Amino acid sequence: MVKVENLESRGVIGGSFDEDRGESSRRSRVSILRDILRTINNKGGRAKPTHILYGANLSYDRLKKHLEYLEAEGFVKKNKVEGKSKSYVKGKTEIKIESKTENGGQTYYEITKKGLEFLSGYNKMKKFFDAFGFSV
Amino acid sequence: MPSVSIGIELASEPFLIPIWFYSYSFLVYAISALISALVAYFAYKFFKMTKTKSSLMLVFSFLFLTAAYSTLSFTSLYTYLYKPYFQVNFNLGSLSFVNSVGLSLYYITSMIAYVALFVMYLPEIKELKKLFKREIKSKLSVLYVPLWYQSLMDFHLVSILILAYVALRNVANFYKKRDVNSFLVMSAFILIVSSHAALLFLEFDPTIYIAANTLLVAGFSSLLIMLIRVSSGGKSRKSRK
Repeated sequence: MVKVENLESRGVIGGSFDEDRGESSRRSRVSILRDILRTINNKGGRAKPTHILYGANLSYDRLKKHLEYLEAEGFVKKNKVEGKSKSYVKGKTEIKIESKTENGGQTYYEITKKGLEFLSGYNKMKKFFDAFGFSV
Repeated sequence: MPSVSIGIELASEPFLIPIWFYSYSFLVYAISALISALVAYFAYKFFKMTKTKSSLMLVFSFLFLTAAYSTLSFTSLYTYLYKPYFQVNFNLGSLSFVNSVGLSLYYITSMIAYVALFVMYLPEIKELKKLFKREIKSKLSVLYVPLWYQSLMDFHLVSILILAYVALRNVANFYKKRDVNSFLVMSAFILIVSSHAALLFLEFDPTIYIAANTLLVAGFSSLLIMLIRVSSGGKSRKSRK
């Protein structure tokens, strides 16, 4: 009898049976989106791209692509917060140091109501598709 | 006890199914249609979140199953309430006309649903997909459509073949995941295949009709239990390891 595992590893069956980090060791797009949203949510509902990048374990290019999708679908909202400028006096001149970013503000991503709904519905959705043998 | 011959003859001589069987089958088909609609609704809700092809195919196939079982439910009710037996004041046409239209609709919609399920469970191998697309474009459409109309037997045979593959994929899924939800889905498909298989033996004993309907409603109930478990958010326990 041929074992199921063997068939899967040979790609005969189980093309859509991989879990989040199943036999292919690659995350599905939906689980990446969940990781991004979860990172933002864990940071109090608002996170900087760098924090999301580390939290979701993504490269900058991939993160940018996924954030664009999430923003377009209304799962996250992009916000810019004016960076705190530091100033000090050197001699008679006051020197102001603007925020780190080149356009003078820090970009944050905020999770929306739809994004929170996605997070709470994700487990149900995963169970539903798992039951049918599909990955999400 | 009044009885009617079924829409399409299976044997050389038509055999009779007691009329009360149709009240039972009306309930069975109505429940099956309702559960199919629920599965389609869940799949649609999740499709909106994921935009994946598999969730869309699931919506598509269960919507067609809803249509198929609603049609059967209606024809069963019509047969049960048909004027010569119960003097109900509505008449859409002769019993054989309503049954033949209803059954034809059922064959078409359920076959679309089964083929959609079959495609969904095809392995993700490009060559296989290409081959299947070529087949469906050329041979399958020519081969199977006329078969549906030949006899009830062929329809059930084709349904069994398709659903057996789907059930097999779900058996593999259960052996991989070993959780209750996958067990319920696997059982559902096995029971639905069994109901089609039972109908092949209708020729020998009309009471098999009741057994087949019971298998069908058991299959859909299994899907309903899975839906309840998923929507209640209960932790899915591993059945055994």
